[in-house]
Amino acid sequence: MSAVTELPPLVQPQVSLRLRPKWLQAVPRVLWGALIAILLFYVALPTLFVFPLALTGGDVLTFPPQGWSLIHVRNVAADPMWREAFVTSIQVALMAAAIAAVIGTTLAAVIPRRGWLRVGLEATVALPLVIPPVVLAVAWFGPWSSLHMLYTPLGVAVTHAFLGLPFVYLNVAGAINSMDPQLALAARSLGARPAVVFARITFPLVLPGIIAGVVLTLIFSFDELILSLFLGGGAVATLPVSMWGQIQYVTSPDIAAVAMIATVLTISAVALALGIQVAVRRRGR
Amino acid sequence: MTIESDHAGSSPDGDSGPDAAIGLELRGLAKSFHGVKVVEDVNLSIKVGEFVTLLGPSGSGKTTCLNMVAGFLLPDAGEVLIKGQDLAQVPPEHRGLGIVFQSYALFPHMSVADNIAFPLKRRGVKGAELKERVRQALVQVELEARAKAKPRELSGGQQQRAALARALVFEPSLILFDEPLGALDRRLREHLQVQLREMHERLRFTALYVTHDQEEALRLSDRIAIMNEARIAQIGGCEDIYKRPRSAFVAKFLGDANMLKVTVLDCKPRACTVRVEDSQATMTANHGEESQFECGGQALLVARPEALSVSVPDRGGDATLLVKGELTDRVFVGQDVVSTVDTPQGSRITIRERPEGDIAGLKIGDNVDVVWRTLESSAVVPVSTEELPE
Repeated sequence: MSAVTELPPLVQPQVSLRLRPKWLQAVPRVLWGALIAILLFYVALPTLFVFPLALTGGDVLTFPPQGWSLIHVRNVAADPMWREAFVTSIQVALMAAAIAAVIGTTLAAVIPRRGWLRVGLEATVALPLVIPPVVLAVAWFGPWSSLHMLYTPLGVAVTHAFLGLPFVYLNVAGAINSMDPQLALAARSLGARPAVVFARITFPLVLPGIIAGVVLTLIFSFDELILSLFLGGGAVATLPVSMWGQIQYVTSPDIAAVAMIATVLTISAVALALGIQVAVRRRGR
Repeated sequence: MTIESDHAGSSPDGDSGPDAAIGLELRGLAKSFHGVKVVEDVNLSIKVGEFVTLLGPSGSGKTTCLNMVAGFLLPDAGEVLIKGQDLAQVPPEHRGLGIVFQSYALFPHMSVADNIAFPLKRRGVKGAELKERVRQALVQVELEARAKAKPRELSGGQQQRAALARALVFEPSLILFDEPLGALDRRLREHLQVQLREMHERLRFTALYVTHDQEEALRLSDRIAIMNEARIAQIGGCEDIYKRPRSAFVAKFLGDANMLKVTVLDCKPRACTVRVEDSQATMTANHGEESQFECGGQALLVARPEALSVSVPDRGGDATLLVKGELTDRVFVGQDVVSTVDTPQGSRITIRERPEGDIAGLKIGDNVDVVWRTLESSAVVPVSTEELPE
């Protein structure tokens, strides 16, 4: 048998669009660079500001910092109130993310791919995004008080989950819609039962979408104040609730240290999620 | 072709046993969607090691047939027998068929080797045996070097070979192909047709191939089943169908064909004497075994462009005249010249021949004779009410 000759892979032509109109091309690149740097700085500034505030050696919340020190970080680490707030926040966020992941993924699998039903159902799923949190908080108050869910971590977590739900739903629905429907048929024909098709094919392919939605839900929950305040009261003292309580009568740099730790945690979570996504895509099974 | 409707009552006849040489048999297969009959009374039998193509225009029911064989659709009626066992109600994962899809359907999150291992793992193969069988399959399709690559890193041809390896690795009794080359450009398609043909000659798997591309069907198949309007219009070897089409649809769908109205003068089992309406010329042409024509009745004569020749009028000699007419067009296409002749009665005839004959000395507008170069591939078919392909 003659050797199978190989055709070269099809090459896609590289097309690049010049977005800068001609009259703007006269503006030097350096100037553009400077402008973009200023914009980025403006966006990142509040986040960066928290670091000098937290690392000050003084004991007032002022700028510029009076010498550098880790004393406020140590204060926070030693304070049982803050430690409990961190634990509560993480608990609530994890519960919210888990609930959002399960409901969002199920909805994405169940809601039809096209038609009026889809439009209606998607709008419903996205509703928590456009309704003011105060309205949501009042709306939840009634049923939660009769179900004894008021002032419980689970009660708060469920409401947080609804904020993350649209993101889980959109990410997973996107992953499902971009999946070749013949993949499932191929897996069946190769000997996989429907349950195995889900475990080996469908689930791994939508997993990056689920992770993206979960991380967004974690972040939403972590900094959510209004729902937590209304429905958790003092009993579910999440980080934002505790910070809100503190800042009303104390202006210690301790609170900036809390904010800094929260920022670092959030950024780490995002980085971790991105890392997992890349790994999942690259490795597969 | 007598399929009794009461065959359901008879139990699988134990001692006579299923015919081991039959790889796939379809009996009276039927399927409707929303009251529209998509597949109707399809009967087909494929020998072990045979390559059979379902060829038809889109909407003719060929993919629905394939889906019923695969188990993705349940037939409304009829049987799907694989190695003599009726599998019509068996789910796809228990049918043990290899399928090559139009999109290849390689699992994008798995390497080529893992894709090929997938059907083996489902069958409990593991350890050293798994590794060895995957390696052998990769060698068969010459992809050893790409074992660890993801499908998207492969060229179109490599993807097709990986999909074929995955469909072959668990040694299925039958492989189904659902227009696997449909999405590729012409050059790559022809290249892969040659590869597939070679692979089939080497491995001798039983294949049911679905396509709407007649050239592809001719290149690949041992036999072709032409489908039209939910039914199989004709089954046969490539040459047989080409030379003895049973209907105007088949004649038009497989190859080019001129159709002329004729009156049947005399009908024998395999040949008819007919008189061409436009020219009153008489000749004897083939017809399919099952076709019956009444003497004096109307029929259509199929004249392939390459069986005809243009000559100066009344040249004489032993060439059989088909029609007389006016030369209206003449185009050189590579080695051949394709000319068009219009008869006074309004028929238009296409002729394809080498440029050396009389055609070289003729001008557009000249009166000419269209004569047979060979009557071997002429055929008589019944007058058709179907819509004919262009």
